[in-house]
Amino acid sequence: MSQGNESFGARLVFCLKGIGTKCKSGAISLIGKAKSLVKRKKTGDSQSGNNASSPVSRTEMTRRQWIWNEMKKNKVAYFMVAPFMLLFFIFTVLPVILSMVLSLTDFNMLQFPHFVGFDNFSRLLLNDEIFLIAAKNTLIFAAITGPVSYIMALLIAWFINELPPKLRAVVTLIFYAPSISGSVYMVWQTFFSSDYYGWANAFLIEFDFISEPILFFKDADWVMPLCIVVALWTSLGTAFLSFIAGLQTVDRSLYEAAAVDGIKNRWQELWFITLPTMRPQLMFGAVLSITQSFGFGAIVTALCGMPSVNYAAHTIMHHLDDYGGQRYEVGYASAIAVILFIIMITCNMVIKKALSKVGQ
Amino acid sequence: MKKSKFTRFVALLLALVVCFGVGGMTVSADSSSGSTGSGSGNSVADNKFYEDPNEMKSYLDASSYTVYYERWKSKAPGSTTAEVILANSNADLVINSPACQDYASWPDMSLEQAASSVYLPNSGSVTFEVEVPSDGLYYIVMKYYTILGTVNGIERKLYIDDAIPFSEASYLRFSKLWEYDYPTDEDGNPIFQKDLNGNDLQPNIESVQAWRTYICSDSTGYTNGHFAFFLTEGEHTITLEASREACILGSITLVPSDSTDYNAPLYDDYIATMETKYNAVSVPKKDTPKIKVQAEKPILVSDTSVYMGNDSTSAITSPTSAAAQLFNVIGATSYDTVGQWAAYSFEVEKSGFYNIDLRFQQSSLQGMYVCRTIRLWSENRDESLGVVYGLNDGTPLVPFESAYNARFDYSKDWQSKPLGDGEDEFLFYFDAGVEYKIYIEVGLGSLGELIKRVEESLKIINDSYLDIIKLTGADPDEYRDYHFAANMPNVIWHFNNEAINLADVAAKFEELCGTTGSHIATLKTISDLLTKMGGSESEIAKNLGTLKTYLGTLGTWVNSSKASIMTIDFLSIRSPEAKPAKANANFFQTLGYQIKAFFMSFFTDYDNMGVTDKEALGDSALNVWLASGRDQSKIWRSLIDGDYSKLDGSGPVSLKLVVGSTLLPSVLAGKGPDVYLGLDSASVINYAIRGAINDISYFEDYNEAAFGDDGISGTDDDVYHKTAMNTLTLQNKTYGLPLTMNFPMMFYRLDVLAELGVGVPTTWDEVLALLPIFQSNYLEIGVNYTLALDFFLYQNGGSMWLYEDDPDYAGAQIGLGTNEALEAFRFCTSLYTDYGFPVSFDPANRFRTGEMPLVISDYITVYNTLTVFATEIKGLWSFSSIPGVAGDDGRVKNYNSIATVTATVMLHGCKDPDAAWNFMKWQTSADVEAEYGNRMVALIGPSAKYAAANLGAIEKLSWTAKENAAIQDQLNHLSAIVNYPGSYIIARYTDFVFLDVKNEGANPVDALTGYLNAINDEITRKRKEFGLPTGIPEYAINPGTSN
Repeated sequence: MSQGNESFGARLVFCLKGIGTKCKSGAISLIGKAKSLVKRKKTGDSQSGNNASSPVSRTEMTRRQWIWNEMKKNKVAYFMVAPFMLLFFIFTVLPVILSMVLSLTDFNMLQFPHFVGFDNFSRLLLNDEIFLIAAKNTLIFAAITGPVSYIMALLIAWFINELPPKLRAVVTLIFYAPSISGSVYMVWQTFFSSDYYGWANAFLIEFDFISEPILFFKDADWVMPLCIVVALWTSLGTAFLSFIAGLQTVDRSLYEAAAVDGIKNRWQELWFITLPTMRPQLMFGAVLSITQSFGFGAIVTALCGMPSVNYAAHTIMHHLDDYGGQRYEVGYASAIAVILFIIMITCNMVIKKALSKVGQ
Repeated sequence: MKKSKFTRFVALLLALVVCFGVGGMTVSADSSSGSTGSGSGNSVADNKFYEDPNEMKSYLDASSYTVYYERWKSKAPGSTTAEVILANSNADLVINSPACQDYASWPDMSLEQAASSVYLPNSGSVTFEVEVPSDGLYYIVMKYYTILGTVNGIERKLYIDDAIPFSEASYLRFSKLWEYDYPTDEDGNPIFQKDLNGNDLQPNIESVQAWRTYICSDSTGYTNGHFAFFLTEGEHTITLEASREACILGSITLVPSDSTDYNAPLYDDYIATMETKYNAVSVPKKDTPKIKVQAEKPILVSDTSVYMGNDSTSAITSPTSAAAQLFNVIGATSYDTVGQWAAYSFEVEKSGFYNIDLRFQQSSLQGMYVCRTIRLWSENRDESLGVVYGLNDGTPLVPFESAYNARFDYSKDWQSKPLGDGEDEFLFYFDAGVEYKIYIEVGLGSLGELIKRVEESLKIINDSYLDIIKLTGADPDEYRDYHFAANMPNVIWHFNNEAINLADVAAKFEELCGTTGSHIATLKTISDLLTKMGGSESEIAKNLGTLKTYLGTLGTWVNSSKASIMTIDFLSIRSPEAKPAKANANFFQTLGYQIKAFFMSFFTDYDNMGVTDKEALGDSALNVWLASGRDQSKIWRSLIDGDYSKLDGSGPVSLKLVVGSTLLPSVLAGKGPDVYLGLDSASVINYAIRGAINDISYFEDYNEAAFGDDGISGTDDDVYHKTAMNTLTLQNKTYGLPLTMNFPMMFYRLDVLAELGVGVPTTWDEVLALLPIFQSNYLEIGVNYTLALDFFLYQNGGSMWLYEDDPDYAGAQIGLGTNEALEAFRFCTSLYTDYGFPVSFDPANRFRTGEMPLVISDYITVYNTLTVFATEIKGLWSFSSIPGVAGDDGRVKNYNSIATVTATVMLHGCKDPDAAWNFMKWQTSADVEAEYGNRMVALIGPSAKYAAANLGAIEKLSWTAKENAAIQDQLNHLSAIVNYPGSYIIARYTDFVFLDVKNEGANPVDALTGYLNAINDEITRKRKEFGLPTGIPEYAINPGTSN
């Protein structure tokens, strides 16, 4: 069952992540490349003499004609982005749009949906206590794991960057390993098993802290802190790698120049040189951390089951899975997904604003 | 379903969303805890059987044959043969037995034989009297006749003068005979039938009725040769108690243990005899062609699970094909259990000595070897005409002593070597033009004795472990002095002893195998640990956890050593001067084969494996989906081709093996199947309420199909359990036929209970009375709490839903608020809070070590796990119905268990509902379900027991009489919970309440009532979504008005 739930949520979030990351990184960079290509071509054209037609002025035509003209002129670029945009549209944009459409219906997976207006949203926001719990938990998760894992990734990357190359490769692998090796977080289940043979329980019983095993992942008091710890442990993922890469692209000569200009210590160096130089990586990492911390759910499901006891670690993702997977109310689940989507987009914008202040 | 263009377009879009966006979503049920099912609960159970602790003890205390033989081996063999008079017994003669009325039509069964033979039924015991002529050692030789029955072998327990002489006598196994029904080519050679893609199809297998001779011997393979029984002069009784299967007994003879008829000569004597008697010499290499016998085509096998397989690891395995799956080997895991054999026949052109080569692969036991016993039988029965092997009735015998010990060494590659025991390469003498049969039987040979020592060690260490745990608990304090030396000197003595024993065994193994593999190293590691623990008292508590792990390892070690896995490609009978056949392909052969196989893999149609009928690929075929394994799908395919296609009105069937999660998206996209096998009952209701599954109750013959000939539910001739049908019914409409049904039963450790001197509890009061004994010995009872919450509810007379008899209001209100339900909940939670039942545990492992001698869990799951996973406790456990609530007389009143059901359903949009209905009826019928279940066991082994839902099928499955009795007992006391809309919320909230009570110490009744409204609200909301009546029915609010 959990597989189904997961995949439902996972796919939706994947789509959302897609909007968040691919659109920003992948698409933008591709479009950027295409543009620069076209620019080069244009300059080539101009160098070879404006033989064909004199440049057309914007004022001479309607906006639509102008766009059409520009498009025809840049058709090579459009041709080059087409494969990506097509796939991106079909597999990422379309499902998101459809899920927005579905959020206005009572779709139940098996029968034809009926339009119900904003019923789903009004029920979700005004009449769903569990959604409020889920929203609260999600925000706690996001507020703790997002920034902490981000800062942790950055600091660790910075430290590791100081190591000699060979050692650096090894240490990088050690830190990165938890996030590549799939469901390795399951070791936590062994560690905090509810059985008295579980490591933590065995240890605590042995030293007489407790007399009978604590049901770690089935106890409302323990669930949330444990899940946060596990989340942090697995969070050193792609963002961390991109930071390491970013740190290595910083031009050494900048440091020398800065030293001449009066940089006093390593902190200043970090703030005024390193970080501003690697701003794209920072942005990328931030987007990842945000989507990761909002889309957090699979680990909780694997460790605590679905739903977690007393909804103690019930996040919006779980709520979405619950309605989409268990209750077959895809219309309602889509409404949840839309809300989550809006929250993520907003967060991304805020982050972008905040990062523009780096180095100032 | 009429579709406009617009709806089609939307459907397409939705399908896209589903495929790409929501793809792998499983049909996850409204999880499993709704309610209802009518418990057939209130009758007093008199057929619950107790296990008398003393009886258990005497059975377990029988010593092994080694001890028995040590005691009596100095005695002389008996003087003369003594025949047991079968007629002087409580068994029926065949001619008088109602079970054998058609004996006249049986092959090889004359009237005379029928008049002198007795019928041994599959349960109960039969006692014979015998006059022993003189003190001495005797073999017990029985002539028996195999009759048709289930796929099980024939098993008996032997008592002499009402006592089991030694423990191995509890497992006498009489081989059955099975014959494959090969189609033949033009020349009459056996071949395999092929499917449309050229893959071989497994031939049918049939039971052979024939006389055979059984000389009592060790079915576990530890002791080679026959059992010698010491009997004193005078009257004795011999009792045979049935464990499995019926058979016919023609005679029992006591034969002096020095009889030359049954004792094989030493190898050198055999050669010498052949040389002098028949002037035997090795046949020359010249003019003697190698005779190649393909191993995948045995003429006879011992079990249905001995079947041919495909090997594609070697390019020269014959026959071979890069594209199709051809049968070219026999063995691997289908032919690895002691006592299983396959027989082949051949003739030679010249008389003389031959070598017999096997091309085989033994890559499972690293650093060790596996053994086979070679038995021979010759068509020639006259000593004066030539050599005679085996007995006159067709029973083969070993030609010489070392044939018990044909040895096959480990290698990653294929090997091609003559049969031999490591010292000699065996020479066999054969006469020209005579048919010989060679039986290759799985045995333990020279390893048997060593493995047995390890197994006995394991038992002693395990007992010592349990003794320690009784003193210290499972998690002892390292720093406390438990005074082991004073409290349990035995344990320390055992540890030291077994350490030496295991080290000795390891050394012997090394000597025998000539190498040290990882397999042998395991023994040394454990021996070292034992030395450490035996050497210093303070090490015992510290290393107890490790010891427990090692006990598991040692159990697995014994299992894997006993499973002597090897794969045989062919036998080759050749002149001793010639070279063995090539074992491995050369580089170019391998390269060519792999390249071909790689390219052919693009053209192989994996979807339609086993299809022989072209129509099954067409559009008109009934589209059946099945979400399980490849083996299961193969069996269904062959059942459909062999059985269903012969029914009147059956059309072609296309069977597809799918992943469970594909059903929902495909139904959504309108590409679903016509019939789906094995949908769980919660999903059935979920799909049905949304119109995705067809109601089947409108079919004319529905009542007969579901409720037997009388068409009434709840009578004796019901086809399915009434509660199983209930779980598939909503508002008087039924949405499927039950396919499987699983329910919890109680598994218990005979040895542990016997040692504590307690019987098997039948009521919860008895369980609670047991608890102090258990707890003082640090033993536990394993029950999963979600399971317990459900069955306590029904045992207490409660029900998950109110108004269950009203089809409109069934499922509208939760029944957890009744007094019975609250009491049940209170009692259940008290087990975990006050009585210390563990909440989280690994039942299989703890049951295996004996820490948890009582486990209540789904019977099929646990049975299959224990059968394959815990073979070292074989015979030490059993299962019965679960404990129940006691009535006023203190006897068990209601011991209902809770069934979980999967069903065969017909999906909405099915092209031909009548054809689909016909198929469903056929597929869930008793005979077909039983055949399927038995073929599963035949194919995969005894750990593939099938939880058929068809009540008639359960009786035909290969359970022993005793197991069947236990299952039938529980079947009579079974409820099931219907997953009405919204029922997912129940399991969720009861779980919350339970954990609240357990973790926070909340009052169970308050906590549960606090959630009732929330549960009812969710159910009401969900029911409104489907336009079902909600709330409390009018008549319940105002009892005056009738409904």
